[in-house]
Amino acid sequence: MDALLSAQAGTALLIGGPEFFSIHAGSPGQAIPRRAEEIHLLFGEARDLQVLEGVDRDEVARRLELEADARDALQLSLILLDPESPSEIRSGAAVELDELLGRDECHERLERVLYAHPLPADGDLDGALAHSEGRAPTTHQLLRDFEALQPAISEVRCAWVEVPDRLFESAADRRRFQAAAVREGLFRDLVLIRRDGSSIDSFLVTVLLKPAIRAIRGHREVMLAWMTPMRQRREAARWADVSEVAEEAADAPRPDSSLRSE
Amino acid sequence: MPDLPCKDCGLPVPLGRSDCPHCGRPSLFPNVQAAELDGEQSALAARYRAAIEDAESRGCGEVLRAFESAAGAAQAVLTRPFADVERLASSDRQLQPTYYQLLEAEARLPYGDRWDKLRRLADAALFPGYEKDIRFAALSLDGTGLPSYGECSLVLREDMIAHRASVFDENSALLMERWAYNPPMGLRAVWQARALLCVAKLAGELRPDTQEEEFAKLLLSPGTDPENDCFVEVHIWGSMSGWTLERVVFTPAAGNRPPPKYVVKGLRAELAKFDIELEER
Repeated sequence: MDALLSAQAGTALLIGGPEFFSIHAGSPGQAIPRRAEEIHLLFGEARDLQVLEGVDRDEVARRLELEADARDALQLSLILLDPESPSEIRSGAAVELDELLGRDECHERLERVLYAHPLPADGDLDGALAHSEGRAPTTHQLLRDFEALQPAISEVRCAWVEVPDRLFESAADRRRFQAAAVREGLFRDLVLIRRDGSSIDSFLVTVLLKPAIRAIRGHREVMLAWMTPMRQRREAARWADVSEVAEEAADAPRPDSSLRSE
Repeated sequence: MPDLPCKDCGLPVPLGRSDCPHCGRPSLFPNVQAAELDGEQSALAARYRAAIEDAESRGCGEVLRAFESAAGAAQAVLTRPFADVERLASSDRQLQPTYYQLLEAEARLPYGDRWDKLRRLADAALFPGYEKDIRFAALSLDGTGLPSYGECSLVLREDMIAHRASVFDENSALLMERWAYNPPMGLRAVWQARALLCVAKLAGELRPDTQEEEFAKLLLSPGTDPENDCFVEVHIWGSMSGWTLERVVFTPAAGNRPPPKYVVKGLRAELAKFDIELEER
């Protein structure tokens, strides 16, 4: 069967032929029959609708819980980073987030969102670290990693911003591509690749095989444009390495020539 | 619909405009102007008188007076998902968009279902030329709205909406379809006359032994689905921010996972910046 899923709404709609059933985060075992006219009410103004094709009910229920965990984790992390939130609430959010991060895949899914954008100027990372220290160790480590990766996050973000608008049909198309890239963890993967110095070309091949990305029109051109600045830097770095080696080699005494001079 | 003279230059202003096309001065709110038309007011007055006579003849005069008094203090409540309230509370630059504005901004797509069609047809007939500016709410006596639309009931501040709100007999999408988009007069009223509309609509349901505690459910009663919701619809022209709210009543939907405890506390703190109380039920 196919399904529509929204973490914001905490709801998934199962589409089995002419019949519709909804399941809800918190009680995924219960499927409620629905009429077509009710669908817009189930999702309200949710802007994170995902289409799942060829899935069974258990898989939808599992995905819904994972997405709902990630949604809650993101909300708690935003509170934790908000300098205007009262101290007691930030500390409580750190502890509640710590519990969530222990759940299946939640840690990585939160990183997928956090690593998509550098910390905004009004984000209080130092305060978040202070509020999590000693009471929420997993949260604290997550924030430490987030802090350490800011340069790589900025680099990947800048490369995304530089992707020309002409590769998208509209601004909304660009937003949709970005949403898919965040959800599929492309920003996070790229950030970690930049940290580790791994191959961008291997990453590109992996991404171009992802069904969720392949389903987007023009995905190849967008991905290539996104990777270009990072590949250029990598190429530049390679040339720098080569040049350095060459220069070192040039500066080094040449045994054979010295022999000749003698 | 007739043109009304501009209060400044005296030239005719088509109903539906919020400014004079000739001198450019701001005009009244078109939904309020529509409710103020002589035909609407006299038709409503006739319904009101008939309802009173009927109630008196059934021995319900006293209950009716209590109901009218309660309805005169009814508030406008719209229901939204928790996430919408979080967004609204995050800054006073956040506004509550209308359905049409979301479509225009490509922030959402039409679902293309029956409601889409009914809503568009009804809005075009009721709010010609200004449907994009109308927000919907329901009259409520206890601060809770219609649960189909979300778990948060947003109670609106009267001083922020009274001048630009009008009320309508019931769900306009359904009523307009029933009347083939040509409804009789007397089904709408200005905000200040909402009690008259409530009496005209609901006096027939009062009994001599109806208790005041029953009034809230009489005025707003959710059905098993939206088609069976009973309520008086409120139409509000123009934008709304966090400052338009008086309080928020949060009622987690049964069977749905509630937000994390500190997310709710965070929202409470955000709302407090607007002097808005968050009430959990």
